[in-house]
Amino acid sequence: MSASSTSGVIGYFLEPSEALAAAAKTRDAGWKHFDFLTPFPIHGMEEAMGQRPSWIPYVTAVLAFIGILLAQALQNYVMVYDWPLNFGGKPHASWPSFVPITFEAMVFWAAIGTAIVAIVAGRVDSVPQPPPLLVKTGATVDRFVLWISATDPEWDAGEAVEFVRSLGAHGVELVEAGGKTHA
Amino acid sequence: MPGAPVPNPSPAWHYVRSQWATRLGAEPGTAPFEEKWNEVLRVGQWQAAAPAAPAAPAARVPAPGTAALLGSLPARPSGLELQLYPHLATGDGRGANNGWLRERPDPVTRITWGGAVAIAPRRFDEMGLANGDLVEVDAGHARVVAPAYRHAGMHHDQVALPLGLGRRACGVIGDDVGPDAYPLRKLEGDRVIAAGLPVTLRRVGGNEALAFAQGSDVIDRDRRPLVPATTLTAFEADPKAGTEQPPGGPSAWPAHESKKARWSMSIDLSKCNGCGKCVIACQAENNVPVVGRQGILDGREMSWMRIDRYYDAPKKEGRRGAEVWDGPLDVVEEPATLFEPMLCQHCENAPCETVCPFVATLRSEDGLNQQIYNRCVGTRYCANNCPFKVRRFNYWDYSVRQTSALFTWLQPRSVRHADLNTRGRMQMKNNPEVTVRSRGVMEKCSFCVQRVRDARARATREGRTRDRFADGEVVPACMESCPTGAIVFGDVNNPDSRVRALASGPRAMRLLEALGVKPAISYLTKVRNDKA
Amino acid sequence: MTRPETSPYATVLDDRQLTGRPIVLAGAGPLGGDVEVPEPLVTGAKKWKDVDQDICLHTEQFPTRRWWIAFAVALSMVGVLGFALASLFYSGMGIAGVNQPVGWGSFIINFVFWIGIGHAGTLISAVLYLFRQQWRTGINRAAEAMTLFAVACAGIFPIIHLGRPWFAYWLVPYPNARGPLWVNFNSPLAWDIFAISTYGLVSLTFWYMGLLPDLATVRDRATHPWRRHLYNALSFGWTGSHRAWRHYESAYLILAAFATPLVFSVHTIVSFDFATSVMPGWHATIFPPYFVIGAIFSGFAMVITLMSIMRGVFNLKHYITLNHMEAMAKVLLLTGMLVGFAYSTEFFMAWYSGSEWEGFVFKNRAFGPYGWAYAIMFTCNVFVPQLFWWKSLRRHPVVLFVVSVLVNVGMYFERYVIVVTSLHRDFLPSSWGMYHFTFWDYAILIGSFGLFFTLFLLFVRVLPVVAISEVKGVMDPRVARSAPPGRQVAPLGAGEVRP
Repeated sequence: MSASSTSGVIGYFLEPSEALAAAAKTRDAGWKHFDFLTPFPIHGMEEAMGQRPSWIPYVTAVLAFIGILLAQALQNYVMVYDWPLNFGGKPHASWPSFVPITFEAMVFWAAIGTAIVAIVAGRVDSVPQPPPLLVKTGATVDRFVLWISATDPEWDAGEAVEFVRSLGAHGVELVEAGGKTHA
Repeated sequence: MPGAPVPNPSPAWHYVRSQWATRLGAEPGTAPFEEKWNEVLRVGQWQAAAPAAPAAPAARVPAPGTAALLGSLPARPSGLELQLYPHLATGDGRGANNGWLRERPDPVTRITWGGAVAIAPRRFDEMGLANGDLVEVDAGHARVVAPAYRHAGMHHDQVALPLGLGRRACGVIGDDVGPDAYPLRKLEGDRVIAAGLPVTLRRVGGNEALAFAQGSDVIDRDRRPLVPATTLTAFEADPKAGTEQPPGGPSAWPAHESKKARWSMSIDLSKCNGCGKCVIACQAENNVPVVGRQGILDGREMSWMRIDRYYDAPKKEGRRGAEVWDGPLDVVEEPATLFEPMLCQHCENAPCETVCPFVATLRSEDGLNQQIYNRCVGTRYCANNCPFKVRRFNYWDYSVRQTSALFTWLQPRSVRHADLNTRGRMQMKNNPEVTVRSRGVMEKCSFCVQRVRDARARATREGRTRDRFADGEVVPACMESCPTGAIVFGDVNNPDSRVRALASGPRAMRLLEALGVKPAISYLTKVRNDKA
Repeated sequence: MTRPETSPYATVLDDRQLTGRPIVLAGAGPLGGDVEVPEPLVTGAKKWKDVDQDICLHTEQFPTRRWWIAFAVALSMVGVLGFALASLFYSGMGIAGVNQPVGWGSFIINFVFWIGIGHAGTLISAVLYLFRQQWRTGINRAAEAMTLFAVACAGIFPIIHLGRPWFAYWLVPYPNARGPLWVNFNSPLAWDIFAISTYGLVSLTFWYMGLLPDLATVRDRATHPWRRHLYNALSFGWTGSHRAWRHYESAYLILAAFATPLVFSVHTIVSFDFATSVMPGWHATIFPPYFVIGAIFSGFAMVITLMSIMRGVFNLKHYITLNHMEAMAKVLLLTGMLVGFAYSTEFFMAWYSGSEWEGFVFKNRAFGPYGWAYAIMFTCNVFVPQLFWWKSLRRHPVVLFVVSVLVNVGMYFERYVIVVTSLHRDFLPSSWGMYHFTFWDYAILIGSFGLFFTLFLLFVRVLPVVAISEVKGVMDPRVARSAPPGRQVAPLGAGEVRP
């Protein structure tokens, strides 16, 4: 990570309503690579930031279908094709017996796959973040932090600081080369 | 045409006519004979004279010396009298060190390994006893303490004790098991009196559990139609009497088809007398371990076959039989006893097969419910799901001699199991054709599958078909040993087999039809002669 | 509508000010009428940073003597478990009390008991989330942890009840050189391994997803570099980015939506172990809903027991208030009545069906040799929770604790009655028998409780026991926000309340 990729401007807000207003103004002002770091998700923040809804549910649907397919394939292959045996007079393809495992496999693939995809997406689908081990933003405590990354196409450090101050932030800081300075 | 001369009569013709000379009272060739003979031929029958009335029976005369013998017997006691009898398993005691015999339950009391004082129900209840309570039988010259047993049908003034138990130096298996009743015999001159001995009965404290191999004794056949039984009168009115039960319903699935043999069995309850030879034969053939008295008390019997002995619950007020609890049979003078050999029914829709997750039990194409010992991991789900409770689980390593001192210290029972099954050259009793099962494995009657497979191998060697057999070619151990021929085994797909004829007869009943398990074993009704 | 500057929550300082009814603001409506607002979920006028302080404290300090004593007791019970299991594997199933006809006994009873307890945690986490019940935020972390530990305890029993447990891996259908020999998919035990493993893994995933923001909180409070690096790795470098929150929330909702049917399906499949058999008393279609309701019932009772202890010992009464406890008590009352309804339905159907077998089994349950177990079950499950019709009893901590313990006792006996009475007297009277626990059955039961409490005590030492980010989300910002810089206010100490 080069210094420029983790540099940017931080602005502190103290309440969700302040953060929502600031987010809408930031979006309208044309900033692209910005983010809000918050201790809990804020209802309405996606629209205020101009985000599309998450695409994860589609992934879930595909994974669920894969789960069903795998379970049915396994059970039918084993019980009908590979080594069919007579268990209590039941037919080889006793579909009622196959239902519980099919359902559980669907849930397994959908749930765990979704979680993994979400964690990966949270890292990948993000703008470069202030490194958490070096920069304490307070976003996990009680601060609602506006972060404008230096990777934004219209980045200018001074302009960004001015803009954030104009939003009414309770504190504005510049982050550079792994440290931050008050601005 | 009668009367016409017969051309070229054969010697047989002469012979027949000469036989009729006595009846007709004339010689062949004479006119009276020919007349009567032609009449017989024309009518087609001949009426003999009415038989004479039978002579009055001669007065009964006792054999000489009987009167003297009868006169010298001791007077009948007015109170309680004791009957000593040789125990069915040990005889006079010679079988006391044989584990198979000791573990074979007494057919009527169902007690294994020990013995009890059999007391009539009313006396038992009046004394406030429970099964196993220790009582002292005092014959004057000797006293023996033994557990008490409420014996249905026992005469009120009689108690009984088995001989042959309680030996002290017969061997490690039989030593000190059961009460020794020999001291109670009375020596009078040159005779040994073992019956009709006047005794008193006294309750002493304590209880020694009786190792019953059966749970409840009483069956209410209206509520639980599990033993086909009927009376001669009812049977003559309807041959299917005694086989009534709630019918099964339709199946959701088509049955599996097979062109091979379908092994089945029929057990005739009218012939079964509960002797238990089949139980021991099965144990011998299939290496079934002996578990000992403690094992039976723990409820871990291993014998693949058992002969259930039920008392028919008497009807109350003519209605359907009253609900029977765990209580003993009400006091009845003549209890109706039913024996039912119970073994794996080899069901077509076996509930045990469905629930085994490890594929350790399944149905073969020739109709056997198979148990694969080396695949069984021992969930015991199959045993739970068997409605007949015929499956046996190896809770311990019965047939392995543990040499580790740590193990024998942790589990003292393992020493007893080894004594019962593997001591010395006892290993030689095992049938080499059958696996010896380790602990944690389920086992049950296999219809002597080793004999079935042996027949198949023989058929292959001889170039015959492996899938169809002549009737009687495969004989399982129980059938082989049954003295009355109550057990019949064979291929029900074979049109000539005896088992097919019996199983399709009116007396045949398969158990628990309402469950839809379709057992391969048919029980033929026990027809009790109520006209004697 | 402008928001009034002062919040009615600023004056609710602890449980004594909570009534369980909404706060009435007289004359606060637009036309001068009364406005009702729900009581706060966090008392003591806590700020967001106080939440961090209160909850992370126990992961940052050396454990107290009370913790060490509890841990020693729990660990010794685990020692008993270990010794009993070693003896079991060495000697064989014979040391337990199972026999013919009762082939299943304490191990399967314990298995169903522990799995049942686990379901309440998932219900609180997932189902209450879907129903937008905000009071779940105070208890869902601990409840979901309880689920995981209960599933861990339950998972040992299907292995140890096997006659040859070293072959348990044959139950997994993987390609092998034995044919390949697979499994019998008709058997409910084969369904069980898929269901329990899915449930365990999905619960773990769901719980861990909830933990991610809180692990970041712990990281940001940590001073030692090893601790910072460890919690940073565990939280996957969580910064609180709303782009990440977007995906996270979506995934959390999906996991909640999938965990909900898991609550119902997993215990349904466990009930199939009984319902698909032919035994009278087991073979009943009421078993799936009966088991699921019973699981929720016993699980909520265990949550109440654990929360009763935790809120006192860890000074969490501001986050797990009496309102939380009362809400759980109401769920307990509801599910208790449903369980009573299930008992009555079983009895009714046993008579109405006209099936002799079924009728006998139920008469035997109530009046046979195990009638004492039936009486305990009925009393503890049906009669005792009726105390919660009275609000004062629902909000009384001692009553809550005692009732929850009795409910779990009753639910244990329910599984005992189900497993043992149907097996010990079934179709053929000749096979009737009795079943008794042996010393080893008791030892393994006690040991499983030891394992559960050991894991739980470790959890409270290492991880935040309350879902910090979720609790912050339901606090009123007017009370919880920090003062702007320049007006520094001293942070609260542990357990302190802002006057």
